[in-house]
Amino acid sequence: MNDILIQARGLCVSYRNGRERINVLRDLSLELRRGEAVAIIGPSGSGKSTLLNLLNGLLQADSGSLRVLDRDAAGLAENDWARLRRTRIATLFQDGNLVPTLTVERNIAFRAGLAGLQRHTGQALLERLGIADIARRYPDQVSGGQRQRAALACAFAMEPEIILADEPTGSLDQATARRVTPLFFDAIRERALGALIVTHNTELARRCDRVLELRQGALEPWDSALSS
Amino acid sequence: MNSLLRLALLALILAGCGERAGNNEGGESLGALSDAPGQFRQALPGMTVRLPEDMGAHRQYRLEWWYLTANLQGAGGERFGVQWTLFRFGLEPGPFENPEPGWHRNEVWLAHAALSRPGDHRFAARSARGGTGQAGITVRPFRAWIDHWQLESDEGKPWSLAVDGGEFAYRLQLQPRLPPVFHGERGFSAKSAGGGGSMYFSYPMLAIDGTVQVDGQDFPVSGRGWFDREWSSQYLKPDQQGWDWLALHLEDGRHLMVFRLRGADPYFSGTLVEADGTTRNLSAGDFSLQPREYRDSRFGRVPVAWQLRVPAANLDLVVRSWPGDYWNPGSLRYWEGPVSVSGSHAGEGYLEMTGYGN
Amino acid sequence: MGLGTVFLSHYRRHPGQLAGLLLILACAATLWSGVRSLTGRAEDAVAQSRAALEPRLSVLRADGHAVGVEDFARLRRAGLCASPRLQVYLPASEAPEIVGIDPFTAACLRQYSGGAAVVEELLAGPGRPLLLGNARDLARWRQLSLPGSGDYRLQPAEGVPPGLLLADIAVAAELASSGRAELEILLPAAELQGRALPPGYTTRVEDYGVEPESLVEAFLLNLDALGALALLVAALLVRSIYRFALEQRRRSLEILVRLGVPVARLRLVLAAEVLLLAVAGGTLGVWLGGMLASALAGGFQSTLSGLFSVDTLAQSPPALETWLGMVLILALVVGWACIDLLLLRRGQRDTAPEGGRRQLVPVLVALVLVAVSLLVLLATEKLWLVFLAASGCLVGAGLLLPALLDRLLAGAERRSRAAGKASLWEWSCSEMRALCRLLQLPLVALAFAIAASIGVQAMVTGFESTFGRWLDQRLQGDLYLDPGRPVATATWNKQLQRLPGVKTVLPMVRGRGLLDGQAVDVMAVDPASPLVQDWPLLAAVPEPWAALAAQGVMVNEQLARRQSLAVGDRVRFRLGSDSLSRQVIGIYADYGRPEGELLLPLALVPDSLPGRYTTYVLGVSDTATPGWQDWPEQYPWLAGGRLRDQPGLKRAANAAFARTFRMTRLLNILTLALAGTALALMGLVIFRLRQRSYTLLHVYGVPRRQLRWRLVAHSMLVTGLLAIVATPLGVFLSWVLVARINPVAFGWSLPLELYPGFWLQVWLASLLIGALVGLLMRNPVRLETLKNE
Repeated sequence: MNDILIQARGLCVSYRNGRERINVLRDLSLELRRGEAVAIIGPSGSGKSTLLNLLNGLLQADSGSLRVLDRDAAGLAENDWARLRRTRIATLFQDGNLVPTLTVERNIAFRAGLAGLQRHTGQALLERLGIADIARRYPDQVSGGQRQRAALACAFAMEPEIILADEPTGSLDQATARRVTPLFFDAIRERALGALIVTHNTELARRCDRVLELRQGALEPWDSALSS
Repeated sequence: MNSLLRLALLALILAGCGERAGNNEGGESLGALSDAPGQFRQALPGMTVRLPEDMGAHRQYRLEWWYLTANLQGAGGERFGVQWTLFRFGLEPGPFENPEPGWHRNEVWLAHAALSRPGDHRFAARSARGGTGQAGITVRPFRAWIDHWQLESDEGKPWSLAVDGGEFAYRLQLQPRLPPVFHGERGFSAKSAGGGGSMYFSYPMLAIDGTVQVDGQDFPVSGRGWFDREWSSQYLKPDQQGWDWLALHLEDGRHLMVFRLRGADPYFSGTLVEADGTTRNLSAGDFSLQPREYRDSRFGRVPVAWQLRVPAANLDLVVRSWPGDYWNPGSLRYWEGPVSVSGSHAGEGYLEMTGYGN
Repeated sequence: MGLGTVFLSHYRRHPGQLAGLLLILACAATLWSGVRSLTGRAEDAVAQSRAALEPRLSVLRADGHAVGVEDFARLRRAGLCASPRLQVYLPASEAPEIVGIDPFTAACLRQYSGGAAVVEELLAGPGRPLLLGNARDLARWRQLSLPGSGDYRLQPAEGVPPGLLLADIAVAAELASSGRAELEILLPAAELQGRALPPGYTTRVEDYGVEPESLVEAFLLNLDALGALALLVAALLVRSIYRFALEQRRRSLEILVRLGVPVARLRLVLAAEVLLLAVAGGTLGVWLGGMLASALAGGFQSTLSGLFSVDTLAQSPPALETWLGMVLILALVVGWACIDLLLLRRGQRDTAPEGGRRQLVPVLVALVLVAVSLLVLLATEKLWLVFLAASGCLVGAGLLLPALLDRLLAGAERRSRAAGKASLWEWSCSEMRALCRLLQLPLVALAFAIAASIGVQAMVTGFESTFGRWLDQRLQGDLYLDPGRPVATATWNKQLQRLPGVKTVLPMVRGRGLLDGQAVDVMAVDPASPLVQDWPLLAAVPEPWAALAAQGVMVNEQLARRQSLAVGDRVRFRLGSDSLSRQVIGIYADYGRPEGELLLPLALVPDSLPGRYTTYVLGVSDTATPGWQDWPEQYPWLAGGRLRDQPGLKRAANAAFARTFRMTRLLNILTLALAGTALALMGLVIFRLRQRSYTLLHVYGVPRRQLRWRLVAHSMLVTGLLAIVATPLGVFLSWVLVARINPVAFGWSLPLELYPGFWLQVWLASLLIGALVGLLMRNPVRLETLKNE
């Protein structure tokens, strides 16, 4: 079992806006190991979401090489990526995207089911995250923090190896964020997951093993002294 | 050629068989008025009018009519215009061998009846084949009828007219107050400089009394009328498009008839009737008739106000149509509506226009 | 930068929305005006059919002489709208009959009014004599080579019954010298209501004919009802799309309010926008609907040998009132649709299924509405209540339908959950439920369209078969003889049986009687005759005809309903001066007549029966040999009688109504097609909303292609399920039409028949619509939808 979960070298992504060609990611390189949490900081619009979408196969890079879970991205077809996303790579969004037409507990069961898991630790997860009481509610009937925790439960229920998180505390107020963050990291540590977290919450960033800054399309180590 | 002519004539007939709007064969039907006489006799200069025989039918001629227009007032001041016309179309030149009633195909009768009020115009038509007795004319006593519409007069009595058009009806007594007037040359009325025309005479002044019924209401009325009697086998030359005709009763007791034939060379003619019954023929140089105002009616722009000057008679008149449309429907559509006269003299009358709206 | 500019800018940014909105409005308007147009044409066609079968009177001279030209003139001069008909029978065998009519007065008879083509042809050509007919009869005429017949112009024409050549009456008169001629002067029966005949004349019913007045009225009534339903469908479509479109602008409108735009002004501009859209979409739709209807109608021309002209279906622009009506309706509906927006209230929440109690109340209300309406419907005898109750049932059903769909899908969801591990089917079911919630109104509209479609089809087919059966009943036998005057029944009976080729003679005596003080028609037949044995009876004792001869009486359905009679009841009635009491031993259907009727054996009916008139139905061995046309001439005792060929008249009547029925079927197709189109349009819009859900699943790791076919499957399942659920509603509608509206309005009911074959077609159509909607949404995955606003 290789320790390196994600290995990216020289990734370039650009898109066309009218007649311009805008480079989002320029010669970006990245490595993610098992058990480590990496934070990526950057101004809005710098391409953080694009980076995450590259890493879980929703987007393809123009050039560069990418190895995910010991497989060459170039050799992965759409169905292969889909399977990876179903079973081994979990994506977490800012607003805790859950299927709005299923209750919280059904959402968790659904994610586990997609991953092919017969039994799942849904109930335990809910209790651990402190949201067992809202299990039967629908996502739009719970608060933002509860929703995010439910999303976490979903993500963990599928027993992934990689977690890609896009602003996991972005829509939470400070108090709630402070409550959710330790749960997040505990779970990561326990399961020896690799986590890539895009955020501009510096507190969250500091708790990660590494912090990188996405500047002008490439990743560089973040110099906390330079930014506020 | 004859059958084409008859086809066109019958298109004219269809004008009476109920409202069949939309099918504009006006051009074709006017052809009916302007085709060569063929086997029919044609009106010529030198022919005269003999009464009372000429009140009857002229079966050697192709087309003739008995034409009444009247301006009436109700007891409460309501104004009415009444028109009643009986047309006879010859399909075969007469006289016909078989005077007995039977099913023949030699002539067709058509009647138009209209009742006008300012802004309102009602119309009804009836048609019949000749030879059955359903429609016809007798001279002594004078009867002109089609179905239950009848104009009759007995010796010494006023004429009476009874018409029932469904939505409207009228029963009128008409008394000629002036002797008949022969237009043109003793009754031959030319319609163009190049010959052609009709035999034409009128009773210019009929004093009228009676009742008019419209929309269920009865109105006792009285007023003045003009009665035309005209026959011909070719009215128009092929280049002529139609005519404008006015018959006016002036307040000073005079009556005036003028018409203008529109074509390559417009042709003007008219007759002025003095209060005592003497007449004077008017030719193009004697009067001027100019349209002054136009109105956008249902079938196009038509002149509705005219300037009529007869210098020798000190007449400078503005003739204005009543508000509204006075179109009589059919494939040969024509305008027949009441007018008011103002200017040097006041009066009333009728305006007829054919050949517009094509 | 006025308010208008802000509004315009929204549409400039989303031109698709404006287009979609106008399109939906146009669709609704098309539906409405198409339906109105088709209904109008159906009414016209029905009026024409009626005219073909109107009761006419023939004028007779009181002194018994034949009528002539002078009589015609006298009647016309009395103001009556009479028209002559000269029938010329030529002595050659198989010669067609020449019928001469007077085109100038033919408009009196409804058969020829309204610019019937044959009249115009005759009018147009007095040159060479013209004969009109079908090709076969014209050929026969040519073969006859009568002297001088070379001059005649032969022209094939539609609308002339076989065996006849139509001509101008003068032309026919010329031919009369070669054969035998009969002149009749005809009047529409309605003429004598306003005027009296001049002295010296009487009338006789020229044609007992068939009097389909009631049947036709019933049909038209049902048609109007369905037109109203189409309007409802249209209204629902408009409301749904408009509401949805406006929701998307809610935010920008709220911003405007916050910026200080007075709310009143905002409402005014919104209202103006509503009106403008209604006018634009409505005008387009009304025009389209008229064109569509005429295209559909025009495509089925000229397959009939009916008695009326094809020209009646010529294109006519939609009436002003249809346009005005549409605009008004659209404006109203759209206004209603955006009232909450106008009041700037928050609309419905997102797509989560609502909690139990909140959902229960409207369902209960709907159930109560349906129950009450159903009770009223079953119990009432008042027509307006029937309509009201039917509407109530429909509205209730419309309210229940979405809930029903939701329940069904929820059940499926639960079942897939119970199957073990959570599967994509659970998600699919929940997704379909969301779809149903979002598309609630258009789905209900589609359901109504489906129900109307099934209802119309059942009604039309029911009417058709009924009409056919009824015609068969009324026009049985081969020849119908009207003696033209009251005759001694028995004597004629014997004489008729001696005629060559006559197999059976059935005398039918008609008259008037009194039942419990009420006037009823009386009909008497010979119960032993083979011609009555096949009469269908609604209810009867065994061996009804024998029972009739012995001690029974039969009543028609109308009378049975009115007096609440059933088989076995005893009734007392008077025939003339005789008072009788008999037992009801049978009830028979009598479509198309409002009167009650008693059927008695001949022997029972006295000679002094008021209004007694005898006609005969003859069964002949072979009607193809036209010898029977000459019988009135050959047999002096038959002179003055009228013989009519039953099958010929049946054919004509059937053909005349076939067009009417065709029109209503078109109505069907139109409603369904447009509801489907509108659903597709709305579906497109809605699916855009759902993209987020599908994209989420894609992120969760479901491949794109799988998501695509799932989407199509969802769409098809929803519409397919809807169709199945709407089918009972359609059956209900047909039941209301034939078993409630008809009996209450006219006293006779039609049988209710089910046509599962048609249901299958409708279900398939619904599935197709669903597939189309699903396929239109090409890519269900769009990553941008996951970005939060």
